[in-house]
Amino acid sequence: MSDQTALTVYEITTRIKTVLEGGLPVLWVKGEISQFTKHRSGHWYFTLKDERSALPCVLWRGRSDGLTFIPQAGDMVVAQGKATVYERGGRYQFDCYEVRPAGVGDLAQAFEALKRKLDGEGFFDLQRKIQLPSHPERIGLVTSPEGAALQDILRVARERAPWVEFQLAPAAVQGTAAVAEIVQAIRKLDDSGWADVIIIGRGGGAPEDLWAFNEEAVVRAVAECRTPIVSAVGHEVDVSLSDLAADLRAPTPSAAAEMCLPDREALSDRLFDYQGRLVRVLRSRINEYRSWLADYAATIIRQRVPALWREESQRVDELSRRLDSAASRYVERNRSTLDRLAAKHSSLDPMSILARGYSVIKKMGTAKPVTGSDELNVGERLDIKFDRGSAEAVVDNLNP
Amino acid sequence: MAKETEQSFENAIKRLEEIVHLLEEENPSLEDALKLFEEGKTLIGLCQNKLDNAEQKLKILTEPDR
Repeated sequence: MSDQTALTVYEITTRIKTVLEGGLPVLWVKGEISQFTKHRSGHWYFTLKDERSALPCVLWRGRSDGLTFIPQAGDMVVAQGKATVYERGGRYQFDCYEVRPAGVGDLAQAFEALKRKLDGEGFFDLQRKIQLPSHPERIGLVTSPEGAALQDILRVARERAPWVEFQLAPAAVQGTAAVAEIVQAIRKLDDSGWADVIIIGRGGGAPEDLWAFNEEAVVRAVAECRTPIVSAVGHEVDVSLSDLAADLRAPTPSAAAEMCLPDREALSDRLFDYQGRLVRVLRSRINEYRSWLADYAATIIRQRVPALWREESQRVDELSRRLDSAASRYVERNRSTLDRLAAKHSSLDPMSILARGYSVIKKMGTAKPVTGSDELNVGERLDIKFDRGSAEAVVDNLNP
Repeated sequence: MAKETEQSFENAIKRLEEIVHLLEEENPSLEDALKLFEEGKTLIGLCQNKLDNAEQKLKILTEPDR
């Protein structure tokens, strides 16, 4: 072997570089971060390892700006990049474009991708949404027979609207059978046409536990459901795709019951108010008629047709006697309600609701209260009125 | 209890609102006013007793065919 045929270090390194970089495309690599340094320059230097090997990695400053996830030692990550040779150091390294947490990251990415896809198919369009009846009497439920969600819904309903009937189409809410069972349950209830409203959902859980409600088959069944449908999956913070496709999204199962069902208390107050107004209006009509009869008509009729006048005034007396008895019966029967209502600040007065913790939100400078997030834009100034005092706020995020 | 025949809550409340409106705004004749009053009273009775004596009913449909 002679000196002439030997390659210089630089030559061999460039040969290695061409073979390596030419041979390997951009790839995804999964591994655990063993040490991670974010250099002052903004470049990331870290090592990915598994049980048997380690891979030195670099992520140049420009690429790291867009990344929200900053890895730490021990994180399981996936990194997209290309194998390159660092000539000066005489070693290969993985030149990364992106680093993401493995596991959760995939789920969140999958959720966004699925959301875009289903949105594209119009599953979340606002005009698909059906108006819920204000006084449903028959509620279909799609949830697990053993779950807390079912008990929460029934408990809230017993207080608010005990006359409302329920039909449960049982379905697993997680695990392999969940999707098929949920879809089948929704179809069964919808096709029967029995329910005024269908509530689907489950209690809280990890993202994977709630995943069945993001699956396309379930979202499609929800979107295509002809019966008004409410989706209540997980806790306030969890939003699932079936929530977005439903006619109404409830933050939790018990909130779903509260949002769907009329409140017995408010309803009986309202009935009581109607009764009062009926009696009041009729009494004033009778008095008007009686005074009309007494003066103007009386003089004319009495002169020409006394019989008619007598008959007419007798009819009015008969009517007012009937009314008085109806009024007194009504007062008698509602003695307790009368006292209750008088004692309690009338719940019909909208401002008394504030005392129960609700608040009235208006756009700055307008009178009409806001009833939906679709009326608002980010950055808009709001005026919020509480039971005691008010506040100004700026909208920074909107959810349908 | 088929949905149609039984006067549903929803319709009863809607009709009641209509009656109150008719009486208060439309100024019907005395006869009509009394007829509306009677109808209103029966509707209120129907709704009130639905509120008062009700206990929750839950029917569990057959398990899905696994």
